[in-house]
Amino acid sequence: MTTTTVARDTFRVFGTTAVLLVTEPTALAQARALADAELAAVDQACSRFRPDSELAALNAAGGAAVTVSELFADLLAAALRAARLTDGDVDPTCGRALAGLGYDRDFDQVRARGPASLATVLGPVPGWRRVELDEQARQVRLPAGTELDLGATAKAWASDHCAELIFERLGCGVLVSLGGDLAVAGPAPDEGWRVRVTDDHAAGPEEPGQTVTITDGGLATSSTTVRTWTAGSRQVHHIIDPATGEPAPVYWRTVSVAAGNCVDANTASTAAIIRGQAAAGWLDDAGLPARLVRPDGTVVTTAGWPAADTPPGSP
Amino acid sequence: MSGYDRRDAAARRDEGVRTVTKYTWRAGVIGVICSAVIGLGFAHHADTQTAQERQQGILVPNHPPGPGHGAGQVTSGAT
Repeated sequence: MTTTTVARDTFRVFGTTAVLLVTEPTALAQARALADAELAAVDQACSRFRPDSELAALNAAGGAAVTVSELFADLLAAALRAARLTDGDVDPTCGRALAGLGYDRDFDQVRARGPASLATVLGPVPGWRRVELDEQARQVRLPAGTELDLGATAKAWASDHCAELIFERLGCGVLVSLGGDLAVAGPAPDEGWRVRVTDDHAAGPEEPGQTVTITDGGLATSSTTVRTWTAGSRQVHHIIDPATGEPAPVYWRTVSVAAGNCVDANTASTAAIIRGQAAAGWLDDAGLPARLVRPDGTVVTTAGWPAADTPPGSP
Repeated sequence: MSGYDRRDAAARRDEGVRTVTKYTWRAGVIGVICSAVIGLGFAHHADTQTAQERQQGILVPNHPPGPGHGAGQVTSGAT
């Protein structure tokens, strides 16, 4: 077996680290240009922290119908599909709940600000079924007071679309990772794409985890340990349980899922955090290979996830 | 009206009742058969919907992850 030459580019986007790998080194610059354009469009459409984004305009519409771009309609459709496939566990109407917990600006600024004052607990989120999307007319209406957060699916959607776009235009194998939500397209290297699965996408190779190889689809990791901050007197994380409007109870520290694309992988990993103990059985029944890590570091795997490459007891 | 006419009328009435009963029974049998056919049709339809729902569910990868010997390592972790 020959080793495929893979070219790499690393850059910052969406407040996180992006990694772009292509199997044709001469295509790297063009691939990066395609990714930059796509990512800029996604940010303009659905950033919760840009006052000029379409999402900000929709959240401020006070219940009025808003005409949106085709891109925004696609992103919202993906979020609503995720909600439907998880019986509402992954719900895009968590915007106000997150803001109420203090996550109302770029995460770097949330951390830099220090402890957030805790707003009144809002209770269950409004719910995805109350979002009206007319994809033909490209019109969206939210109930007054409802705020969307597409963070759970938009980053993964962008990974999928960047990968597909680069493969279609340039014909090479490609891997796009946006903060650890990764998608691949086109011919994989002969030996596949090597992925280190761990708690934090910025972790070094010495950190506990497992290295696996993928050849198609997407892989995403959700964790309750990385995007955390202090609200009032308690530590909170960003994965909201729609049933309570509060951060989901921590049954799993980290969940990584491989799926047919990155959106579906992210949908499943996020839902698994919210579903807690029932998640492993749900993932197994769905045929989704996954690695679930408990707070004590013990690991559960599902549906053909490979055996650990680390000593027993290491997460 | 003669006694013969009364018997004839009664016979015609009884024959009518038998005819109505016969067709009512046949209609009942046809109804049962139609119900069974429709039920089977819906049962097949329900199976089809379940399959479609599965197809429209979260997509599984064509190949599950393998041991980590691939190229170009990246990290999947939370942000």
